[in-house]
Amino acid sequence: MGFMATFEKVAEKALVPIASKLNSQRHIVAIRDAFILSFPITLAGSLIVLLNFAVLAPDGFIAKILFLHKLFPNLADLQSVFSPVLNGSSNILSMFIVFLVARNIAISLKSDELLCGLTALSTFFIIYPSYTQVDGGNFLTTQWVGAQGLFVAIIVGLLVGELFSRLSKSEKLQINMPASVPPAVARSFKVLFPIIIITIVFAIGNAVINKFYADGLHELIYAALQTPLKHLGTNVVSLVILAIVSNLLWVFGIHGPNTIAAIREAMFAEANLENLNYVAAHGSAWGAPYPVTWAINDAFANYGGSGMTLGLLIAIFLVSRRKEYREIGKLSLAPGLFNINEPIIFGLPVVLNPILIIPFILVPAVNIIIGYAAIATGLIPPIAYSVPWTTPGPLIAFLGTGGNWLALIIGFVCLAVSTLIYLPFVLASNKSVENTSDSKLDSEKTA
Amino acid sequence: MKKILLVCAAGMSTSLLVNKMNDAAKEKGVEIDILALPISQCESVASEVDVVLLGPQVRYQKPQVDTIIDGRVPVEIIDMRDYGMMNGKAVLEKALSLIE
Repeated sequence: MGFMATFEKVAEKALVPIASKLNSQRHIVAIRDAFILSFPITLAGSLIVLLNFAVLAPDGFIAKILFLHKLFPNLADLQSVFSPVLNGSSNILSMFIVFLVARNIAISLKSDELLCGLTALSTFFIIYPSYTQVDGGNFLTTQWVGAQGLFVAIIVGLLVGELFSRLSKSEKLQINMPASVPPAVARSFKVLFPIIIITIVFAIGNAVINKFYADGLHELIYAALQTPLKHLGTNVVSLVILAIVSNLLWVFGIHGPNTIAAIREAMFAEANLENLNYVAAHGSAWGAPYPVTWAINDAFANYGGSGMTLGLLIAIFLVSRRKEYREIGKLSLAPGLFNINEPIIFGLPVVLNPILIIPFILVPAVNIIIGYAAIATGLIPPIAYSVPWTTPGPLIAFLGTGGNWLALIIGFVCLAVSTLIYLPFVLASNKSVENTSDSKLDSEKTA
Repeated sequence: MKKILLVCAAGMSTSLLVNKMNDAAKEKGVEIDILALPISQCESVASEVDVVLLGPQVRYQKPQVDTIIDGRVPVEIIDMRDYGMMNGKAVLEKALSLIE
């Protein structure tokens, strides 16, 4: 058996079951899908913040190009119109997440998903720090409804999801209404006892924790879980390792980014949101609190999709003499510009290709380090604005830094680096096809 | 009309395949409705589709889809090569044969 055949067998036997377990494990899936579902809302918020500064601030890059501030001197005043947008998106992300995690658990356990999600949201606020009274008005801190409350949201979502789904299946706890009662009314009575039980359990738990830990449950979980994990994620070594793992999974034909999404979100969500809040407050990505986030991967090491295959495509067009490589290259170019590369991964294929595996893993690692170096040395600001991952190549670096031209140039440098690294491997694949056709000729001759 | 559901991570690459499959269906003169959705959203249409095909990159999510579909209709994984070449015709044939 050849090396690749052995390799493939090991992969299918070992990796696919692990990925399968990881991705069918309902708690991981619930967290991952909660972030995926809330993503459009945080992304919309981020884009509005970006546009707000790019167009309306006097030093925004679009305003500069179009001389907008000269035409409309009071334009900057309009910025305040859009600044509340974040209050409805990333600043309340924990509320979305707690609802969605519990809802997702309820879906996989086949219980009432909507009421389960609502119960989780209710519980989230039962254990929330209580109101402070100022001048006769009640005030609730915003500290834990946004990024810093994410872990509490996830944990509450998981616990309530499980408890609700299990309790609501117990026949003893159900109040069954006669058939003449409208279904909507019957539905709410059916889950009444489970909701009461969950509410009591969390209220007591919260009181007990507050007794022993004066700063409260949110502070405890934030300090004990969320902060360590955040520090584990926001450094260049973790970035490179995560990228290698993600791309290595693709080599076996498994969707890498999707598989590591839950852990990635847990590590970077708070840092991303803090960065976004920083740029919303300061109007610039310079000095953003978390210079190293997963955004570096998207901005410098993911052009064309995982493995930065835009460089591979360029290398193919430059030097490949294999007809099928050029054909698939053409087919893959349009989706590749928007970082979708399944055609090239499965068509070329990159999957289990002994030559292309090496640059596919190497290129993103190298470019993450280049991007990191540019940010760490203060050459360019951090990638603080979130930009859709389907944005073409170097534009992610440009927009993510709030319109820094040097970041755009470094993006093109990274693209050139990726092409250069892929080149010798594409040349090698030319040779391997020549060899096989030669050996075919030889065998025909001998035959 | 029969409905085919294609599932991948974000519904992006499968939507490319949908176009190719629609072309193939037109050529063949078959009337068919083809959807592409990420796995997080396929719950909503699970009861209406006649066959579910997974992109090979999310083949490990088959257990999750199996739970959602609950054995009602066939759930299969698209061949890697057909997927990469965006071979709409081959995938359509496979889907039609599964429906029958």
